[in-house]
Amino acid sequence: MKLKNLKRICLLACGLVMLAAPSAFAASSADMNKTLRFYFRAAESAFDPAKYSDTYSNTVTLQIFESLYDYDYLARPMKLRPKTAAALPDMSPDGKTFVIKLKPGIYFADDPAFGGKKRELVAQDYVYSLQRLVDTNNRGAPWDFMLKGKVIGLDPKIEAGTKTSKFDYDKPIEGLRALDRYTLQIKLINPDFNMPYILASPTTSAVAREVMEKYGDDAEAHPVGTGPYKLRSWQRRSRIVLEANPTFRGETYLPEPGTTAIDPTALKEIQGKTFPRIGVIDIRIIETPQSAWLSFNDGGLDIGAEIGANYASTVAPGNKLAPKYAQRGWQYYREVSPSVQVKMFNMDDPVVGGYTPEKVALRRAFVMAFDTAKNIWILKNGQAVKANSPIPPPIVGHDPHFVNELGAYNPAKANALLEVFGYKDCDGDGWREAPGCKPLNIEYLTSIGQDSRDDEELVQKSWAAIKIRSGVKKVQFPDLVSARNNGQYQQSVFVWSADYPDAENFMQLLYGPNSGPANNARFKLDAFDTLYREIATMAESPVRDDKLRQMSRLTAAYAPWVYEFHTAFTYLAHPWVLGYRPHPDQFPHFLYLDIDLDQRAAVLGIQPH
Amino acid sequence: MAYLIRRLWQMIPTLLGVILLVFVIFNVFGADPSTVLAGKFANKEKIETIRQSLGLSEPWWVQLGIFLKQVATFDYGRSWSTNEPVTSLLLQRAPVTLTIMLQVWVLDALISIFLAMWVAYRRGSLTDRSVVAICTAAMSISLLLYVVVGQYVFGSVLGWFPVSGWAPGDLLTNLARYAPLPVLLILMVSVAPSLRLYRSFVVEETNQDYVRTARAKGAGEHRVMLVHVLRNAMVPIVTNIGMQLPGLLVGSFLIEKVFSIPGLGSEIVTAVSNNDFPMIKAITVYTAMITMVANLLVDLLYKRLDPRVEFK
Repeated sequence: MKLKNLKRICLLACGLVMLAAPSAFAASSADMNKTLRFYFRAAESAFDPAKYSDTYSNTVTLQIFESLYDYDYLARPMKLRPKTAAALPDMSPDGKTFVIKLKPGIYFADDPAFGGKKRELVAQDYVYSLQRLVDTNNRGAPWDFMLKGKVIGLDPKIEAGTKTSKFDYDKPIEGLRALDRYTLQIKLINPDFNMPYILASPTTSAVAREVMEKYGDDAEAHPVGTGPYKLRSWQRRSRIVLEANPTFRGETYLPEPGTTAIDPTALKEIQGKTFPRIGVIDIRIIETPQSAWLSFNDGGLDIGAEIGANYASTVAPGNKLAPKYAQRGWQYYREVSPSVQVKMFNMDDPVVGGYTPEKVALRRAFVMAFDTAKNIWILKNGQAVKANSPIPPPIVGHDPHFVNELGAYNPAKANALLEVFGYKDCDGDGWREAPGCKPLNIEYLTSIGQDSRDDEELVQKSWAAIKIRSGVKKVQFPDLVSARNNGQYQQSVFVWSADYPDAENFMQLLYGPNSGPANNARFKLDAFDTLYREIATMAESPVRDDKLRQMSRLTAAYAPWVYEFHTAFTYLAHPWVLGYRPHPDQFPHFLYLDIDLDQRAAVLGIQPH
Repeated sequence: MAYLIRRLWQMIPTLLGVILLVFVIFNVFGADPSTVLAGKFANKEKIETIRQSLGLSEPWWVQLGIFLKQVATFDYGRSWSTNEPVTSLLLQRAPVTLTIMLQVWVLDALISIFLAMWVAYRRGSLTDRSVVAICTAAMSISLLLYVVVGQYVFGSVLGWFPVSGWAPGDLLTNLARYAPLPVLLILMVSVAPSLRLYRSFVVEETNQDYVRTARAKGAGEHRVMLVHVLRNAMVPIVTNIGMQLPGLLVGSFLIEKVFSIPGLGSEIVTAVSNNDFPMIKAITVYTAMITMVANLLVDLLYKRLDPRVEFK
């Protein structure tokens, strides 16, 4: 009898151990004595993937919540891989239906909202979380463009939710369904081959409905996800401390099949390990470049991400780490961001807009008078690469061999072009008038509160080089956004960062029907629009790439945008940080990092906590 | 007592004036934050939804009524940019700013008064002229330069202090580790003008007849300076010190930004740049209240320092 009882106890104990296995597994992988000291160069807002669109809030939510897909850590160019999904989506041939299987056995971090029970991630969590993106009660739903107008049955629901100020999450729609506990189905109105990319965005991560309902407005300060880290403490706009999530399943890195350009050193550092390795991530908000630089230089930070342009050119003149820093074993990386900065014309403006030859000539003359290379040195200290098209280097559809020949700096040619098209100095004051001797004075709209004097001067000098009067109007940033959205400007500056790594995300900004909040230039050209509609529903292919090149050429020819640059960022890490590589998505991936504590203590003389 | 009640009563119209001024400035000159909060592709409907949620679509008198209610209840709602309750944000940030600024306030007063007495006593001497010249030079340099150079030299090169940082909720660590360099740098800027001002007050008093009389009666120099001169010079000095009180709340945004100190100063700058009206309202009203209270306290102190002063 006693032996029987003993067996039962043993079996029970074994069962309990097995039940607790994921927890024990993760807990053993993360060393809670290891603290990574990191910084953000601007403050975060809060941690709700559906409500906030700033980079730093998203950086934190990326560590706490999980989307269905993400990008291989080391593969370049970026390569999609399953995260909580079991495999890449099963897509119908017409590109309209996506069926996604989830990995079973993924659990949310423990929270009182779950009533003391383990809470498994299921397909319905994504049905709920994706709907949250379009619920305007979530601070106006800043990410609704990811799904709005795309998913069958979703738009009427959005409309009803906006009217009643209450979004009905329980009403089923055809386009977004959980077929079973682990299977999600998304049905689209039109083909969209970018949907997997959208499902890799941190903003489409899964949240638990119970948590959202329990904490209400404070849920954004109480993030509970399935990711490798959870929030330990948070002093807003000052310090964010994350700690390893004990319920995280643990992860090992294996390059996705077919990946290219894997860094062998990084691979060696992370292969075979179970992650996360680091128990605590201590993130400080350091807004001044000098403070960040000195903190890194003194060993107060383990990683110096996106260090200021001035320091970048000092640390690595000519994009090579200076010997004195190389001797210290610093790791140096330079990564071109998936963003583009352009000077933008309002195509509806009666002076600078329009599609008639003399209007096109005016804009093209500015393109030729604008010295992009000088601009990059003055504004960015060389920490940028010249843009030849709207598509940045890390983005699908970028052609590294494509050169915008219309963008060559040539003020003499610009002046000649203006002469040909009737922009002459009618009154002899040294400044050109518009054809028909009409007054000509271009207004460049920018925002106050930014250190943009160099930029403004360069724009005015460029206009002056072609003898055209110009002025600068500075408004508050919200007014700048409003003026650009409503077409109340002549020329302005515009920066766009990728929401997903496909050219379509950039080309939509010049699509005619998007004129207004998306297409601030209000560019409407049938040839461009036709091409856009085609590439928007095509999978990646040489034919699509060719169409993208045509679109870039049309943009250069009509010049609603003056391509400037793609910003490059410098990333530094101390030698004791293992597995660190900046990712083209610009987010730090703490999951794959490790620290050599002995080396850190040896260099710093102490072991910081 | 009647004076006190009258002064407190007078604060109400002043506060109403501040409320109206802030309200008008925000509504006439302030930008609409909804366009930024709406994120990418902010169409009119989305912006209107956000305006409604922020209460910006209400008629102006309703918005003003809400503002008055907020002042009366000390509840300014939630920050528009971070959605955090404004009151809890202020309660978190104010002690941080005070940790720095209280030290600055006290040390600035003590150092300035001591040095002012010393150089005024030796007025015209090389010491006096040197100190005045140093003060003039110190006042001519921007705080930004002190901060940038000070952080580099004391923090990085000499390693005497950490280059930046703050330990939330750990007063002792902050006082011992993170506050000294910011305090030192602010003092390098603030002592000079205070010292020059106080020196002029003390010099003026030393020329008075009562000082000559005291000396004629055989009072020692220490007694003359510390009892007779200082007490009389304290009236304008206290006024100046009292006027610095509201500054304790708002702090030094530059110092807080550079040293990553999560105080109110940096929060104010962020609130203004984000058009975060609930935050702006709360900070403006509290600053106005503290200014009025400080003025009242200074007036009450006059009586204590100079019994000839009468409250009318």
